[in-house]
Amino acid sequence: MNIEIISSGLSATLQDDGRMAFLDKGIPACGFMDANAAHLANGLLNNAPNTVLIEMMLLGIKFRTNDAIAIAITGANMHPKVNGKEVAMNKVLQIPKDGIVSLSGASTGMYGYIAFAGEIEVAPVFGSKSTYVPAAIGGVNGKALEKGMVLSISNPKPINVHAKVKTNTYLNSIEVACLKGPEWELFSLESQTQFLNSTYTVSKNSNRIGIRLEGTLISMPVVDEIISSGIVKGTVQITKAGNPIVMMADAPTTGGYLRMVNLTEKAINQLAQLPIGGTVTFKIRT
Amino acid sequence: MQYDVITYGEKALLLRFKNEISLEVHHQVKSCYHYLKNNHIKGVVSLIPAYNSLTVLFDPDKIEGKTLKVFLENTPFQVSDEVVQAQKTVEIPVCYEEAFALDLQEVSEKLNVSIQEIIDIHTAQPYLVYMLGFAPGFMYLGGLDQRLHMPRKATPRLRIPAGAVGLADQQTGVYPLETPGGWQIIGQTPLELFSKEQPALVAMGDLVQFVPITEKEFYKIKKS
Repeated sequence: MNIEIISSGLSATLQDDGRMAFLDKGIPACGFMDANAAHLANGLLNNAPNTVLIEMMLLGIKFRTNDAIAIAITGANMHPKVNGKEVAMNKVLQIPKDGIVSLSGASTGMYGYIAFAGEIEVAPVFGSKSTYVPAAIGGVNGKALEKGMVLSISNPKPINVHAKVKTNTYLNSIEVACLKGPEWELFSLESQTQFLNSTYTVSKNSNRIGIRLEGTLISMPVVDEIISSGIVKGTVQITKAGNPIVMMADAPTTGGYLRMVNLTEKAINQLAQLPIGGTVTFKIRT
Repeated sequence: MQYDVITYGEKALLLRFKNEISLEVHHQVKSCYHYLKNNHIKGVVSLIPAYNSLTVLFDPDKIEGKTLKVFLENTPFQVSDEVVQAQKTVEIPVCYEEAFALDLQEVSEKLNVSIQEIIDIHTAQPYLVYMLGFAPGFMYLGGLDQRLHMPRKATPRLRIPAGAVGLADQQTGVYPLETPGGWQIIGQTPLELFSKEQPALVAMGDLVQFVPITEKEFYKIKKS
């Protein structure tokens, strides 16, 4: 069976758990921004957590099915409709043949996920199907979804259970847990306190590479950069100007800014869903 | 071998070596990287070797961070001749002719070195690949002759073609993908440093030798 993209949203890409094997060659991990929501969607359909699915940023897509299929929608609330009728998120949805599934702008959260009971047929590149647009790899020819694209779904399987999970609530103001980062000790006690006492706002210049935060500039130590070193998802770097940037799924594999803290895995998923203009404070977990 | 093993989020540990860029530290990082790569430690999912650090990413469902930390602290990593010598020399053809050498004239004037001399110096000896990072297939090369140390452009270009060869302060390198960038461009290679079939031409620890080619040769290689 297949689905045809009728409208592509802002930036919708195919993602899975990511491409871990070639970080040493400078190839970013990519993968789900909010792994929790993505795994939930796959779990509802008895898919392996790593199964490739559609990730949508801020604005949902619209597609047509040429056959019946079970799907699940999780993550940001993009008010899904099937054939014009509102449907629930976080549960198995039976889409009829020639069904139209449409999603709109997110009222809460940033990233929405659509999983299918079957496998979206795209070739893995370096061990992952995750789309990485800058290098044009993964997904559908390395591109974000476009109007007119047709995705084949192989081995569609019937899902008879009416599985449903608790709805996630995404707030516009959150506190997230983090661990001290590799360069935490390079910052003065005042800078550390400044960071932990500040409320930061998600900048509109945020994307899958990183979430840029606006707010109090951190007073930088004299040595304000390091010899380039590895970057992992959830690392909070402080630029020379004193701005925090949270490195996310498509982040470069190495960088030279000071790494102040690392978000916990849970915090990474929480922050991924914090909308532009949303606010965050950080709390060290010891 | 001197290094610390520090917590780096919930799914990684960082081996931090002496705070310098040197051949000695490079060999230490390379030794640990090769050891962990070749011994397939359960739960270790990826490695990022850098100038003076090695990031070890793990799956907490398969190994506890604490356990891995103790293992990394107690493994007798050693720099061996075998590891030091484990390197291939990769020749990268570069066309330094005007069509590709966007900044060569300017670099020549600023450094007061003739264009031919720049090419001779740039291709005189191989460069050590200290690490890959920043972008897919991007090499951090060490050993640039002092005479070619040239500051970045004041205003970065919005578009630098894939394969562009540039200078930036003490570094020389090749842009694997078309990106914006501030390096001074002195030539271009027809080789693909990164493609869907091959994640990188070289590995950390390899040597890169630039070889000057003509514009004609450039297009011949590009076509093949």
